[in-house]
Amino acid sequence: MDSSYWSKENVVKATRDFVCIRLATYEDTEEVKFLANVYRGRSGQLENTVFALLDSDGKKRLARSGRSPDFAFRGDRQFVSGLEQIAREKGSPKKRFSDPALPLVKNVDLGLNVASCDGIQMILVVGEDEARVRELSQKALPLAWNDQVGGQFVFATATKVGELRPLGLKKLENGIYVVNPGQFGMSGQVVASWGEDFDAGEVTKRLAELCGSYQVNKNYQQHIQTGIGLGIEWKTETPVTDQQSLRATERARGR
Amino acid sequence: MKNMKSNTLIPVLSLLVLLTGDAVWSDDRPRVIWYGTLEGGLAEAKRSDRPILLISAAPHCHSVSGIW
Repeated sequence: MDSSYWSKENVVKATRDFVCIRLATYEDTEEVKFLANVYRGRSGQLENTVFALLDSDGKKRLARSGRSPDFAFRGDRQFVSGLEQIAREKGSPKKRFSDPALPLVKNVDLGLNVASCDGIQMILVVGEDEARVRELSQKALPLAWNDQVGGQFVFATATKVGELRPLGLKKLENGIYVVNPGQFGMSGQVVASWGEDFDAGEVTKRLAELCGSYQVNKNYQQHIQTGIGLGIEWKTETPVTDQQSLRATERARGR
Repeated sequence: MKNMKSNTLIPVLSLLVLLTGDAVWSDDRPRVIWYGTLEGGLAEAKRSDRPILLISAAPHCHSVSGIW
């Protein structure tokens, strides 16, 4: 599988019959427990990456779990065939494509980081309280689930002005914000916004323009070297348990 | 033993490459729509009775953020 694996048209199409969950490892205690139950490496501990296909109950395994799809499939064609077979066996429930929820990441900080990793922009739903955020998130659903811009943005929500600090915002105003993440995902710049009376159709048209013009080019080695040189150090919510990764980090940072 | 190591490393490195490979990611090619929390994803799977494609990765390398 090459670097564009997850954006291959046949793969993306096959994933539409699935609820696709991508977690950030080590960023939530409950998620860590779940992941460690799904797959542990030879060390017996959770490692940096996990892959699994599960039934809708989140328990029954539909393929061999591992650290990547390669643990269960030989290449993207077999992977697509496997996904299609599972979808066929599962059938077509009525609720399949109706009213899905907004595909959120845990918080603004993680949203910025994930968006930076993906080289895409973040859409932030801001409300003065949880009820307003739920209302605006519901209104924003078409932004996430349409063929034109679906998958082109990371979504997060915020209800406190403190959460907006990485964006340089000092006042909380209800609405939708499009954010360009910084190189290391620790800051962001608002490039477009709409108040709470936004029209989802109009916003979608503008989003298509915005994501089409957003360009990022990251070189892996340069990014790491520059980051270490600048003192960038991401603090995970739970301890990293991947021993190989820990040793590599120690070496890279000269400890 | 050597084969065991290779068998483990190859898929792991493949995932790292696909997550970290040097790339201009910013274009409008089709992308997977990912739920970013377990809670949100499991709720949607239960609601829609759809199977789950789950992956997890660390959004940092050598503790440098901004790269898978």
